[in-house]
Amino acid sequence: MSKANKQNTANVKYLGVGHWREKRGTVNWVSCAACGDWFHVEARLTVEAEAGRAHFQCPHCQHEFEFADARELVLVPSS
Amino acid sequence: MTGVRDLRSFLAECDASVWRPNGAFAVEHEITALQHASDRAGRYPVILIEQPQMPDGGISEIPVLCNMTASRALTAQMIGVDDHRLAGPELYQRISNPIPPVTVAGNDAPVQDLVFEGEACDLEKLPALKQHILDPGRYLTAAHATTYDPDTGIDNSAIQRCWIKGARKMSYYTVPSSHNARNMRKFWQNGEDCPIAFWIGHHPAVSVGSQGKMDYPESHWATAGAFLGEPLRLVASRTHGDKIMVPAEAEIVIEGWIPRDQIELDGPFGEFHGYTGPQTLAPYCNVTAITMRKDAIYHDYGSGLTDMIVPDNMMMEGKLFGMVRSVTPTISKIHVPVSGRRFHAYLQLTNPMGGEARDALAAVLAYRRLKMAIVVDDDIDIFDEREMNWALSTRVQWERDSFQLSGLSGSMIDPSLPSGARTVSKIGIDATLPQSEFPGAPKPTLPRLEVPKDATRKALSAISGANNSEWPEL
Repeated sequence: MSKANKQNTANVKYLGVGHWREKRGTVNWVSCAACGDWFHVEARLTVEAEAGRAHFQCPHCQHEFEFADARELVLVPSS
Repeated sequence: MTGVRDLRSFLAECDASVWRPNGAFAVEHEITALQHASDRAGRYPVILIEQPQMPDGGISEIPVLCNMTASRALTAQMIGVDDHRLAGPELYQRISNPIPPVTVAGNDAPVQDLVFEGEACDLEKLPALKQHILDPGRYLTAAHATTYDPDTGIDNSAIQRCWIKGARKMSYYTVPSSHNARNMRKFWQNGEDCPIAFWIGHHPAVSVGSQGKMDYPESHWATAGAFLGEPLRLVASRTHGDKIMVPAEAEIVIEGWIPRDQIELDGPFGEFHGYTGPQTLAPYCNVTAITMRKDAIYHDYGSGLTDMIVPDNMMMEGKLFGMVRSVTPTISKIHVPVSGRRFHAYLQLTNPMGGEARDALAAVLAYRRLKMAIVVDDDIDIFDEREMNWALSTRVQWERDSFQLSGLSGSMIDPSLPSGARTVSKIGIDATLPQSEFPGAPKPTLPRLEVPKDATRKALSAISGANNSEWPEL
């Protein structure tokens, strides 16, 4: 399966946008494909990983994995 | 009577926290200087001056107690709150469960052991302090002025300053919005002088409990009883009978009348905000009786010092806790910090839902004295100013997370107000983090820096065993 096709299988949740005065998060979080622990990633890395040009490395178990293999992603919509 | 809690039982309860400086200390400035020094050192002993030196050089037989409530931890302990950080919720409960007072006869009231009436009264024999450089004379600062509403007979008690102007005359300063001032105006409007009594010195549970933020007209005695954990014992005053009751275990009581429509100069005098308030006009009291215990102790609050601010702020915490509770159950702690005088409040919420942080802010900003309220999450220690600053600097975008309100009632002695102002402006700041929106997922923000608990324990153990006397403090 190509990287582009794998993107569609990722368990992505987007934070709501809401009213401009509501606090809605500042950073993306990823749940590791291997151990399930959570860590946070910069928006630019998320974009690159989603496009298949970068991958994540879990700081807890060191496992390297692609965007589509993450157990879960909680993403902040860009403003 | 034994077993009753009073100022003496308090001193026995906290003996290890009482500092009795050796030698004589002048009632003019020297005793207050001790309080300034202890504030600056960040240490808060109760201070008992056993040899107060009077202006004529003699030593008063009446010792002076000050700094009684400078320690927040000790004050909380003395009113039955084990952890001072829980003063808000605990005092809210206490205020909600009053214990009515009981009446005792004069011969069962230690405060009437000694009675001086008419020309036998001499205010100038009291070791009242001249605290600060611009004070015009010696002031009573822990005198709980007690009046009553002539329409209902319901009494009111509040700490209000009095400048000793002669053997039987002292000023009586009360801000126009105070409940005592309302009572006084009613008497005056009826063409009468206002009856009044001032009680000085009692267990902190009574002194603090009597500072409850009550409705009008509403007596403070039952709240004081709730803090004391037993009914407060009251005795009829000598001058006014059961119209004005006073605590039977007080140290000193001064009784008299506020003559109708008479005002004179008062001040300058130190205020809670830490500046010297301007000279002003105030009524005065013609003293008719002074009663006291045989071995009375004179109690003084350090104006504008921690001693004066701590108990009032703790009572504010109880009041504000109830105001927030009425709009969100997520309030867990509240702190009115000494550093903000009475103008600032820190609120800690646990997992507030959308909008609840601002609901809490809106609720407390209606309270007259507050100018600024900040809401944080429960990972922030609201009793640590460094943590509060960290939350403000890292969790707030000012335009999004703050709102200002103008034209609200406020403290008219706020030194930042322009002359003639009748209202103030206020600010609410939401320094909470956004909440997690998905079950099991972390908050969508940066995690705070941490080290593992085992490493923390080891580090704390190492530090506690180190000789740190030469380590820099800054």
